[in-house]
Amino acid sequence: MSVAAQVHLEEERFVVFRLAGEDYAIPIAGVHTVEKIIPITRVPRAPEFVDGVINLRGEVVPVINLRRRLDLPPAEDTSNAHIVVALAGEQLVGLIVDEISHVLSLPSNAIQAADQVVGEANRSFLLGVGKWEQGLIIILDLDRVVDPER
Amino acid sequence: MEMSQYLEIFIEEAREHIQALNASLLRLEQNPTDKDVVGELFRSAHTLKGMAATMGFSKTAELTHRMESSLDLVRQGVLTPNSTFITALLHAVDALEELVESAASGQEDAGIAIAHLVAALPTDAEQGAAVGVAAQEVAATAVSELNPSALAVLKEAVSQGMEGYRLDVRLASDALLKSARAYMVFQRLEQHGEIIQSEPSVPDLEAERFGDHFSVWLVSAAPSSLLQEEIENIADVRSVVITPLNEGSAASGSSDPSSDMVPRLRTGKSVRVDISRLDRLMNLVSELVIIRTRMTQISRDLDHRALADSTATLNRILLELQDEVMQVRMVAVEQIFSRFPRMVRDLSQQLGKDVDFQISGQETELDRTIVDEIGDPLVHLLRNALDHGIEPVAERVRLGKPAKARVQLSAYHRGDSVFIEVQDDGRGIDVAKIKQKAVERGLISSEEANSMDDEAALKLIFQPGFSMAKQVTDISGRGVGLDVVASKIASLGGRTSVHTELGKGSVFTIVLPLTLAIMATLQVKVDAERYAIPLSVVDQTALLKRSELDVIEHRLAMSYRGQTIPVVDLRKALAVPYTTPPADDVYVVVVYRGRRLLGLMVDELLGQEEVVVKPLGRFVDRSPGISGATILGDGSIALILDVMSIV
Repeated sequence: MSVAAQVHLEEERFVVFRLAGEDYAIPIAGVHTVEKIIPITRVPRAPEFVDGVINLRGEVVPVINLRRRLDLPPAEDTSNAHIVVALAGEQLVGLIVDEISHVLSLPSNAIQAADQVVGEANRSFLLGVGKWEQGLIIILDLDRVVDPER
Repeated sequence: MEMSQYLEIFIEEAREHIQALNASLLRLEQNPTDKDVVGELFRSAHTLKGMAATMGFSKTAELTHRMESSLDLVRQGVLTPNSTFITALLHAVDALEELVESAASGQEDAGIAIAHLVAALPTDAEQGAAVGVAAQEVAATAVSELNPSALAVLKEAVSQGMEGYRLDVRLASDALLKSARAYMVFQRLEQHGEIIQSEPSVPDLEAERFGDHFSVWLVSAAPSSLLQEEIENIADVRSVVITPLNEGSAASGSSDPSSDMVPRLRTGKSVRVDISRLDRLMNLVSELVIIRTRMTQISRDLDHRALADSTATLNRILLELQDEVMQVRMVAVEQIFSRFPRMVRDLSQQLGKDVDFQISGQETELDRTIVDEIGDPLVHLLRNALDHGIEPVAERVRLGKPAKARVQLSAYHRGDSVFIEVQDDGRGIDVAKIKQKAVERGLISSEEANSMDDEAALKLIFQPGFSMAKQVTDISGRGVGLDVVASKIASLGGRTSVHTELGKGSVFTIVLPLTLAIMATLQVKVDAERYAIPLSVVDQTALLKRSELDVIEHRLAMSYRGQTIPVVDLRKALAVPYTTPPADDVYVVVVYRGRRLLGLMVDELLGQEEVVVKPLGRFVDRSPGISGATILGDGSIALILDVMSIV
């Protein structure tokens, strides 16, 4: 989904989570469930950002280590960690986050293209940046996050 | 039933007939005097005509009618089929296919021209009146009475206190699939008695060779009012007149010695089931298998005798159920193979190559979902063989090879796998050229190319971005390479390989699992991690001392059955995080890797287990060495090893 496409939406709802002290979000439409950390089975020779797979009520779902994916340092405190299970394309994926914050509605004019705000490294995974009263929120493009070519 | 359901049946059956027509025509081409084949062709055309006419697909009906007339001339020996005639028929079949596919939308495509095809088919002068002939047949037969054997049955029944009836059934004139209605009438009546004769005869009813009415003679203990009600309740039945027969009137009936006792209409021996229902059934069985595993575990933990016994029984029933469901899903590969002779014939003509195409093992069965998916990959391999594999005739002659090339498509079972091979006796694949091209394409460096062995180099042709076609041809240079074939097969849990000999030809081999869902595995432990090895590849397991393994050129090896086989330390190959030091005692699981043996070194053997295979999901499913995952009884996940890609 391009940034331009986002602009036409009047208001969109996001699931907001914390990652290395910052607020990140993904559109709620794609979110399937939020799980406590459950045992993850390592998959040898999988892409480096994949921690492994989990058993989500009978389905085998790959789990992405978001910190590693976004070049962030490993978490020191994992006590509040959760797995956000969301749909990327037709594939369910789990995203490990430090903490789940809340659900947020943002009007479309509060969302800006990413390049105005953040540095080069993370930009390729972003859908845009949202502004709200408590600051900036980084909106991830899940399709890009799961694309091993990026 | 609604119109759309009729349409579905029509389309499905029409496709089968078209396929049969194609196959028979090719056989006729090989053997123009084969009267059986002509008979088959005639029947297919005839049935198709009847079906199309009832569905109101006039072009299909017209074309099949003409085909039927032409074929009748052959049948009568008036005409001997030559290649012009067969080609005309093949073209007609092509048009039929187009018509039928367009009819899938509910209406024939008016844009499909058939006049020239009709004109190309020879016919005799009387054919124009065919409809009239059919009508006369019905009128003439409607008045005939009971034949002697039917009469005998009637007498016998009457002596046992039953009644004889003649039922005149009239269908609505706009009824669709009248034969289906007749079938329903027969089925209802057979619940109440025995049908001793019908007018028209059963084959004619089945083939829909009747107008809008037919008569049935029945012996039954049921009152006529009940029969009346039963028949009137059938959709499209406009009226039914029931006349009781007494022995006297029956006896006075004229007899028709030529028509025999009525064979029963084929009653419901088989059903067509939507594949999605079978999928659902399979899923439910899979769930049961998971629960079963869990229960076995619990009964083991509890050490409860009665529970263990019940679980064992459950186990046995479940295995049978699983087997049955699996069987139901199996179809013969013939379903897709049957369209290839025609394709190969057309292609080889187009390419000006002379090809003897052989098929074997078309009765080999595979899971329906797999069969549905392998058509395109096989088309691709066959096209490749014809286009790139087989040399032009002149070149073959120059090389001293037979001018007629041979392409063989074969299927066979081995263990839990089905092998499908496409073999040609063409020029083979030049490994040096592959390397050169791969370097050009940037797939490998020239240093890599130099050190690469032939086997590894051959595998490059399955890489994305590698296409062997020297120039883009109409046949296979469509930008789809062998990589598409390989990835399609891989997505089905199979693998693709190639053996080639320069100047002599190539064999492409596809190995597919019999079924997608359930797999017998050997569970092993590698350090703290658990893996499942498909039992179908396991030859044997061995317990050895680490010191008994050989090291040859820095690689582990062991002697096994008089030969030295490589051994892979799975701790290393799978980069397993180190939690326990390796013990001196190690287990080696000897597996088949294609035709070769390979030892897999593991820490522990946990036993055999039937597992439900789950896909790993995008971007994890390409991980080498792993083909899928399974959920164990305790809810944890074990990964399934793919021995082909492990090293």
